[in-house]
Amino acid sequence: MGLSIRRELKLREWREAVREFERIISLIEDILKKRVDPFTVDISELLEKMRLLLEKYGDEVLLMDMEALSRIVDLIKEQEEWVQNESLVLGMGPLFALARLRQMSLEEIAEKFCEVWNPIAYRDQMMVSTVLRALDYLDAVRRLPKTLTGVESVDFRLSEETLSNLGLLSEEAFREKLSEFSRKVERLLGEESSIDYWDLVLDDTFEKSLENMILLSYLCSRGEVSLKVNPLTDEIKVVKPGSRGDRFSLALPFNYNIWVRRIAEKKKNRREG
Amino acid sequence: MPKRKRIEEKVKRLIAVLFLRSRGRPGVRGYELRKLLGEDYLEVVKAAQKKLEALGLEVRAVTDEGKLLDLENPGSEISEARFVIVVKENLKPEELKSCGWRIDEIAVLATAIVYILSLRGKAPRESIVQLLRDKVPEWRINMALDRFIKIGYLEEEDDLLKLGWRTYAEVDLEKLMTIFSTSTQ
Repeated sequence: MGLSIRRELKLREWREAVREFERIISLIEDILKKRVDPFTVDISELLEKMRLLLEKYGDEVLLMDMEALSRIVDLIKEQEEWVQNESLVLGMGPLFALARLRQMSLEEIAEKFCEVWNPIAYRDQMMVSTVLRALDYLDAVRRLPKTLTGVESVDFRLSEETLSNLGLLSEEAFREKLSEFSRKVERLLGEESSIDYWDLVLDDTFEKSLENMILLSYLCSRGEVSLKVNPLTDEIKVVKPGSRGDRFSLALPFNYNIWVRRIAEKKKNRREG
Repeated sequence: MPKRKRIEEKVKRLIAVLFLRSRGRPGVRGYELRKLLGEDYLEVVKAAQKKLEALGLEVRAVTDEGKLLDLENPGSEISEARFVIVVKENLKPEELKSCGWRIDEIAVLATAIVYILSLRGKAPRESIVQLLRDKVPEWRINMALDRFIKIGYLEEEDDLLKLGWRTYAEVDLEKLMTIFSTSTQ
């Protein structure tokens, strides 16, 4: 009985020690992430605390100790960078810089920047791989329908034929995917008046998300759905097609980094929501 | 071949390789120049410097960490440093377009640099986007930031942006911060 109580007490103490290590790690991570002055932490105090814990618990906390030590190395590196940049800042705090940048127009900022900018002078040259890529592109363009050539191409709509000519999708697979996606959008628009664009297209993989974007753009060009953009918030909503007022093209940059960021935002919103 | 003529030949070769960019990044590393021009490559660089001065150009050596090296007193880092030719004269805003830049893209770069420096070296990407979104559409800011990351002006590390080697090579950061802390509205 006494042995079990002693074991229980030891386990509790060990848990407390692990929590202490976790506190140190999260403190440093917070500083690095939120860009707080890294000198607000007394590193020697942290090291002393870690030394005592390591002495008391030995191998049982070795991994945690190593992790905390690695974070302290990051913090020291951060302190070094902070000092290096301190001379450049000349006492100008982030709020001051923020206020000044907010006040200035784009032209003024660019004009001031040009006064201190000496751009590198070089000539671009094409490598064999780039030439081959260009040839592939020209070959793909040649296979596009003729409506794409010339300025009249504004009426061009992305067709299955085009996609299959470009080797993106087989005709059958595309039709199947499109009708499945169309049904999904129709069902969602039946439940709500609008859907957030990114909520609709983002999927578990980058490839699938990109595919959804292509399918949605096809539905838009067929007039089955419309997009509503809020210029103030940059929010894009998918809505049922309304009156055929002013039509415009919308370019949305999308790459792997954007996908990772959007997915992270989506997860964060879900957690907060 | 007399030494002077040999150096002149090498200067021509050096200027050609520095101007013609191959692969993604402009510039040539010190050890590549040594291989191409021989052990006296720094002598060739100094001779080229004199010729380029008359054209308003300058050869600079910059390390990957962004340290500008003095060609007169090169340290051990010179071998790994990247040699580039920069335009000594400052551009005028109206000349930006002919160089392939938009005013708003340059404003995004300038804002990012000033903001990163004011936060001592790193700044959240999101904060830079927030700062500019009243003036430039968000998608354009992100596109410009991606472009600057790709060509070496900025570096991204876990959603934090920091200055890239190219900013250190091309921008006089001390002067930039002085301008932004003294310019009157």
